[in-house]
Amino acid sequence: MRASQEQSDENLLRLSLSGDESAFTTLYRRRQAGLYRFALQMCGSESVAEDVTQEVFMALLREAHRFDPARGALSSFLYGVTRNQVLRRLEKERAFVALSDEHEEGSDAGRAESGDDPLAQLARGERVETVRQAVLALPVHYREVVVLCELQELSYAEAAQVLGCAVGTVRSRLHRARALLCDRLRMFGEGEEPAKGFDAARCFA
Amino acid sequence: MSCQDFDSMSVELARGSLIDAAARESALAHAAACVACDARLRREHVLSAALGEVAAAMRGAEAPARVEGALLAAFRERRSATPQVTFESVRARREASVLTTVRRRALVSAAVAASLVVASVVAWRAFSAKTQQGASEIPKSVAVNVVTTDANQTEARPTDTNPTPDVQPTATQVLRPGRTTLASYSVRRPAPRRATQSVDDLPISFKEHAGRVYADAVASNGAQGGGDLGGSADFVPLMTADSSAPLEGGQMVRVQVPRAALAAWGLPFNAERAGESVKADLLLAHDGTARAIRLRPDAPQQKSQSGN
Repeated sequence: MRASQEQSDENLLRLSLSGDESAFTTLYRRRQAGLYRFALQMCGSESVAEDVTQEVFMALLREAHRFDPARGALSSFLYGVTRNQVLRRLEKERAFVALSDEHEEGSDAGRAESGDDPLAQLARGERVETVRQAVLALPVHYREVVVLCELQELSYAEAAQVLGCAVGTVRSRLHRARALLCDRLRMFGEGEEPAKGFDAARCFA
Repeated sequence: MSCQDFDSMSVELARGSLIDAAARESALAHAAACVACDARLRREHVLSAALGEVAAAMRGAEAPARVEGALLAAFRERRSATPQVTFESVRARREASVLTTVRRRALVSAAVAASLVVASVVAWRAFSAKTQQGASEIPKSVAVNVVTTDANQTEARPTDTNPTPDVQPTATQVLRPGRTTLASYSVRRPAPRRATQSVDDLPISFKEHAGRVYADAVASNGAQGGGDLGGSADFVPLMTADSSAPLEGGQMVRVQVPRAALAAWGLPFNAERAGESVKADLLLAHDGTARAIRLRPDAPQQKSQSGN
């Protein structure tokens, strides 16, 4: 049976376990970007995100029996494994490498698009970087809800499945995380020359 | 709508989440009337927009091609090295391992319960033989000294119903730090079991030793018409041949025993439910003898197998 784009994740996994390489490739290409971005937004390091993404799929090959379709979708399972890998690394390293410290190959942050005002692009890039740093500075349990719900655009229910907690817990953590972000971004705005096009002090007052 | 209610909705409004239409109208009307809440809502909108920009800026990020290459290499190596597995076989293997674990635990529990029953029967026979030989050697009741971890010591007192011989309490032995200690004690001849055993009939020393839990259990079960020991939070010492020996450490084992076995330990039980089994925690000395028992309050009332 040839894998196709219309196969569900669970079917692709089943085919992969039976030795179908194209099924595994399809599954990987379908899910890798979201998991990579999640890891990158959580730890801020491209190299760590790359290692985590690889380890997640290696773990899927080794321990497919841990996935129970009755308990949720494969995507939630993969996000959960990614989260555990990231938390393990964060615990070990207890620091993150700011994106601005690394050569960004895959990131579009600040990249000028053709036809756009360069100054507007620069302002937007600075704004994006400021907010990204603020997210990375959040405590881990607040950071992960912001990343899952705001950046990965998961629903409360999906995020709750990934985190293994109740929907209400996700909602309350997100409220608190956003309040922290507002305070932090206000701090960035006070006493500093605001980035062009972005008056943090005025917006977050 | 109050400012507090609005506060809980401001994030959902800014994120564009699905909200009840009436609630949305009410929240927006409040924001129009309240300067602080309006400012709060504008802040949330700005933050949502900023987070959206971050998400959009990173939308193209993905793992480099070398990751896929490494994974495919590992996939091929695994496929050639191991037999093909199917999803069904993986699931079957998981279910089989769970079943094996459950069976193993059941066998161990049954073996422990059976050995304890045998040990208690042997000990009861030995106790009975000793009792027949010289009843005068064993005092009818002895003072029991209970020491809790905060060093509250209850002294033995003679009772009105059972004149107590002059017996000095022996040293206490701590089974586990931070827990209620077990006092070493001598064997006490159990009072005759009656269908309705009053708490007051028990010697004060024994009542204090077993604690208020035991007394309450007897009283409550007495009200039910059966002298059955209900679930208790404290351990009750068992009357065995080695009761007088100090208890120097041990271990706790959770078992399921027939209610009839409680009689062998000198504990009251409901004769009408003798065939049922009950879950209990047993404190075992180093030599394996049971020294104290604590019945589980949520013990399932199971019928024992025939012949048990």
